[in-house]
Amino acid sequence: MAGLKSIIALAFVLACGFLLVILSGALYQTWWTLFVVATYVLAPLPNFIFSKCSGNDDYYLSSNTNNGFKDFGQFLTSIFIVTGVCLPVVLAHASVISVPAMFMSIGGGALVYSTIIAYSTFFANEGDDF
Amino acid sequence: MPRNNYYSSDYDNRRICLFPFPSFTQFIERKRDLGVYVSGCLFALGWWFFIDAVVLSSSTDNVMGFEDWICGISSTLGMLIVNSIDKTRLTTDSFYGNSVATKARFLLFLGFALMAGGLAGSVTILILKHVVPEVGPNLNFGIEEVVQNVAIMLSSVVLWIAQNSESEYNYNYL
Repeated sequence: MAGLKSIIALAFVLACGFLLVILSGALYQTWWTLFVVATYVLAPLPNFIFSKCSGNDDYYLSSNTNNGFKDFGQFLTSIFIVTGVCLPVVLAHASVISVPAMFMSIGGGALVYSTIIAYSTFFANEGDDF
Repeated sequence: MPRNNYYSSDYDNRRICLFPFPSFTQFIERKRDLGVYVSGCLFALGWWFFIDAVVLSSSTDNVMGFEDWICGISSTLGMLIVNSIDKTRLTTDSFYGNSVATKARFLLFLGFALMAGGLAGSVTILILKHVVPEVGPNLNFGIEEVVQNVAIMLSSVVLWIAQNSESEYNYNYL
């Protein structure tokens, strides 16, 4: 599964996502939509960090005590994901950016985040942390 | 275990597509993860509704003051308190002494009171500030504030259910 073709496809999708986000800023001369990329890049980080905190998975029976860290990481990750969607909607509602720019930045952000997710599931050595 | 999904093509000959589709039993297994994700989404959605109201009000006529923030802050504090309590401490009967369970229940009551206070306060603000003076477009701000507090409360409930159901599952497993 983790071949050269999938790497090229992922890179292509990532480039399309960045293209959409940058276009959404450049076409309308408002660069607020670039924050979408920042939130989507930050989104997997809490999950990654706190899954390392939650201890070894071999102690499956005692893992219930350490699950708080993992839960908090997942909580923060989903907050970041929703932020990536809601930020352009709020900006468009306040008429800072236009509605087409909103759709373009949401689509671009979704492409970038799905690339990160696909990369981490294809090339993860152990477990699906994200 | 869900971690073997991508390697299970060796074992499952019935699969047609290249990518494994998530089955329903897999969602049941990962119920806790799913619940936590849904809870985080609800929490963020609630706060974004409020931020939308604040941004709109500051770009038109500045009707949102600090009193509108209090409900959301109190709901969030209540959610923090409720979900940081160790659930097993609530039912400890006289093993650690009775005082632990009493303290835990008092803290839980405090958290729920903060959440309910936030919700009630948001409804109060909706009625007193936006419905009674009969100013038309400002009604949205009050409604968004109520939506924020309901979403935070729902998120807390979902988080509670997700964490508790998993612990029951573990007990059955043991």
